[in-house]
Amino acid sequence: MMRALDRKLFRDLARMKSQAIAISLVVASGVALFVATMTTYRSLRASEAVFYRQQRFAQVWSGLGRAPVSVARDIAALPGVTAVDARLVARAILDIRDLAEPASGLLVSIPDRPGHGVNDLYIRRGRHLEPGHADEVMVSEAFADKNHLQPGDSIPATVAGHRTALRIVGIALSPEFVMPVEPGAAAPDDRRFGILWIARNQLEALLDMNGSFNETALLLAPGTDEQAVIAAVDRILAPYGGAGAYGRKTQTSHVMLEEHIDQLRGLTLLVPSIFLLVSAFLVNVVLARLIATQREQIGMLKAFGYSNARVALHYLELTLIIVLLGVGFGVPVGSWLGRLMAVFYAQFFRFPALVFELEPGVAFGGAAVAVFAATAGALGTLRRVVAMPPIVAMTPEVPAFRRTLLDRIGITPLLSPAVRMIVRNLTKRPLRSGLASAGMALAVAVVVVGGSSADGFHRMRDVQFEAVQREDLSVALRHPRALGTARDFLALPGVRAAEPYRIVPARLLGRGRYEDIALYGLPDGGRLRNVVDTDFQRAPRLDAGVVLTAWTARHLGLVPGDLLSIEIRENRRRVVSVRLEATVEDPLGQAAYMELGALGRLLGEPETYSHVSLLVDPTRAPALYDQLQHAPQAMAIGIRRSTFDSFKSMSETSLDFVRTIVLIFATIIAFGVVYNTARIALAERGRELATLRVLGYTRGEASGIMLGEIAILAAPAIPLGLALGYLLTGAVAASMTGSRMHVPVIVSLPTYAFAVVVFIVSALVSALVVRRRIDRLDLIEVLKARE
Amino acid sequence: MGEVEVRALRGVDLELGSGELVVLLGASGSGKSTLLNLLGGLDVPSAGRLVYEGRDLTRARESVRTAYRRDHVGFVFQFYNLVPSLTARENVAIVTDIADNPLSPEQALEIVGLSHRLDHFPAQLSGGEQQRVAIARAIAKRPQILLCDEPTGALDVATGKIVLAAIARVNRELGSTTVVITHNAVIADMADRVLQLADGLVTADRRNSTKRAPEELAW
Repeated sequence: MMRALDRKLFRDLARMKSQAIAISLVVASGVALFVATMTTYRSLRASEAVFYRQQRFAQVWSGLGRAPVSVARDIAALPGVTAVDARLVARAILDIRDLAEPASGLLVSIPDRPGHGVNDLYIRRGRHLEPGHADEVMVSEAFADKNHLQPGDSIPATVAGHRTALRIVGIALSPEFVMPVEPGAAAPDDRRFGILWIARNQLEALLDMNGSFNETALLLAPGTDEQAVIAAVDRILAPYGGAGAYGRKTQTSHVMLEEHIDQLRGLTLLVPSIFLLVSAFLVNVVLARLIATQREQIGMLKAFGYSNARVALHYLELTLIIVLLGVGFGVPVGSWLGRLMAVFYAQFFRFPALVFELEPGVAFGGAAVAVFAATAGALGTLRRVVAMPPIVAMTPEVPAFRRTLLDRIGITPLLSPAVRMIVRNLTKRPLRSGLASAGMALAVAVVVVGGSSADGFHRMRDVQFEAVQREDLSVALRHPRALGTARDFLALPGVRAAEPYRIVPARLLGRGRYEDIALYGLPDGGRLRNVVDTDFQRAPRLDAGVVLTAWTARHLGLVPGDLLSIEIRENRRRVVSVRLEATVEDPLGQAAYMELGALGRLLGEPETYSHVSLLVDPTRAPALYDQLQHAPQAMAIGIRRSTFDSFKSMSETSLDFVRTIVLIFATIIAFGVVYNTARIALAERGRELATLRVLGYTRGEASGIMLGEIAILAAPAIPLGLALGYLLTGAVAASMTGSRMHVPVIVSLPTYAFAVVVFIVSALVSALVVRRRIDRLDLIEVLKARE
Repeated sequence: MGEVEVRALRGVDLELGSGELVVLLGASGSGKSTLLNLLGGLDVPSAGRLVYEGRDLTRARESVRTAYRRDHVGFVFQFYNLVPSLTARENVAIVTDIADNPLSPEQALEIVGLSHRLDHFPAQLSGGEQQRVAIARAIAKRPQILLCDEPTGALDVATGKIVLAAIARVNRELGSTTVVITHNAVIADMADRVLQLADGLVTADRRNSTKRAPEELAW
């Protein structure tokens, strides 16, 4: 048997159902987003961990010039090292059919049988290499897919100046190359850069490096001190041109993957919190209104002996039902959305297996936060319920208006009575009016955040590929060459300009920390490679000192004027000192820039260059590509346009997905806030409006007063929301910025405009719904009732 | 439970003359409010005809009835229905703003004797004062018809008399056809014409040979 008070609960709920649904939807959105992003995040972390563990992803790597395989035994003997791969790696220029420009390959030697002790491959199609079969390779899946390569296809390649043909037998994934980035490139370009795994003896022959290795990858026992191993490996490899050992935290693919996954964590906390904040606000205003209309009922209940706690509980129950409806809807939707997102990202990262489950902790966590937020929103109102003595509660609340500031300063005579009504109503409860505007501002802000996530990436991309890199083509040389020879490139077909530059791998030593960076030597007055920040501002002219990526400088606690210690990690390893001239918020990577001549003096060698940037006549590009593919000194070719396109499609795919989701939910917030604000205003002003209608005001005139009030609340929400959106964009960008990507805080004009349009449309739809209610106001009822 | 059609009025045939002060008497449920709603253009009859100055309002659209109320009808409600956020003057202005050739709010408030309370908000006025503001609001447009629904229902006797006096004065000075709904039979003495309603029918329709001033009434 249902008690009478419970019946009242459900009748009250039924009467306010559209408002209750609006609140439930906002709660559901918050919970769904929380559950979705949280499960996606955790599922990707778990999938990553499983992939790494099953494929025995290495923990320490080091490049080197050349060492006999026997040296690897010294490394294997180090305490904590459980497996060592002493392998050969080499760059190759590939001739892919259907691809006008040459592609780049990274050849990596592997054992000729499956089940590698370190960095094992996951075979997607075809088979593993077989002993004794010459010229077989396995190819990374992304590269194969982009270029429609199948087992059985053959790829002509230039390796160390030798022309050869490589036959594909399998398509594979490796934990080392989840995000394959060509050395020296700014972003993955799966069409132009691929990994080719080749039998050790094959690569030995191509490189003429029998019984040697030039890269090592190690697996460590749990609990091993990684830094100690790195130091020991460095010591062992120093005589062999060791380029410096490093752990996963600077392994390019791993770092990029981490940054992608970490972006989700930023969203996990920030966006759902906004929704729950808004739901708390909505609960607050709606409940306050309900209690105002039920003063007499509350007085009656108390007069009949219901305790304060029981009456307060009654209203808390009402709140909880609304919230739990939202939770009940939000958890399954969030779980479904989470699966959608996790599958999307797992395909994006090409994880062989997706670990997905809705953890009860996540669902309960979401529910708990939602209940907590709503209860917090209800608290003030519940306190008022408790404080109402029965007698006071039974006398109607008379809205006592007094002269306002506006009246005293003499503005009101200029306003029509309708406008005065609006102004006095809004200024009577300034806190609530302010909160209503703030709630609407949050809705605007969420749309801004949803849109601006792409803006930052677009700016990063535009700066990198339009201002930093201005060449058409960059050629990496096998060995640095004397500066004078750079002019030779001008003789190649279609080359209109050639600018040499130098890249030296280096380790920047800070206070107890270090960062591996690329040390650039750029020619004075060069145009094709520039040091530019994310506001398109060029760094001051390069001189003897270095200009450093701002993120790296902050990370190492360095400020301009400091003397830097840089360990040069090429050939002869040594530490040099140089002054930090300035820092630059450049978009991608970690780099230090110097003038080319100054770099030569710092290295104590004649001026050399390792790369050359070219401007090319596009009509003659095929002839140029053909020559470069056969040029023995060219190791790899980077094509700016191609990397740009790849970066664009990669970032847009994932950003559009996230943006769409955020936008859907932002629209719900905007509608939820505006609709509830309008409904409450209507409930409070319904009698006045009906009176005006009886007195001869038309429907349009009566609605005008009501909608004018909403418009006045909504108007400040727009600038406020845009400003708030900018601040939140900053918070999101801060959570996304890592060592490799420096996402600038950019909100484009179209993003702002879009937020305003979404908000205005939601507001108009809410207004129309309320307008229909005004049209149907019962004019006869108003003559009888005293509210 | 199905819908049951309730006939609030059955065969009421009534003609109100210009400038008449009519008191409509009847108990709760007698149909007097329904009649007032029809006269005020708030509702349309399900059967029969409603004609105002030769214009048929029987099937008038909402917008036509709104214009009728706006241009010709003044309303006084039992619970005043003032806008709490507007002062007395502004509550009247809300009607004069949309009327042709209205009195000024100050003139209207002068007629009901509230010249000294122009800038007070409803919460600062007594019940009788609030009702007089409501009358000022109703008459400011110089309505042809003034409809008063239990105007003294929420007031004490002394205040009620002041309010009735204001209504009588408006009827006299502006010549508005005035209908006062009440269940208080004493008030009938101030009318030109008294209608008695019971169970949806006009059971009596008489004219007072002598009208008494509201001040002389006692209940």
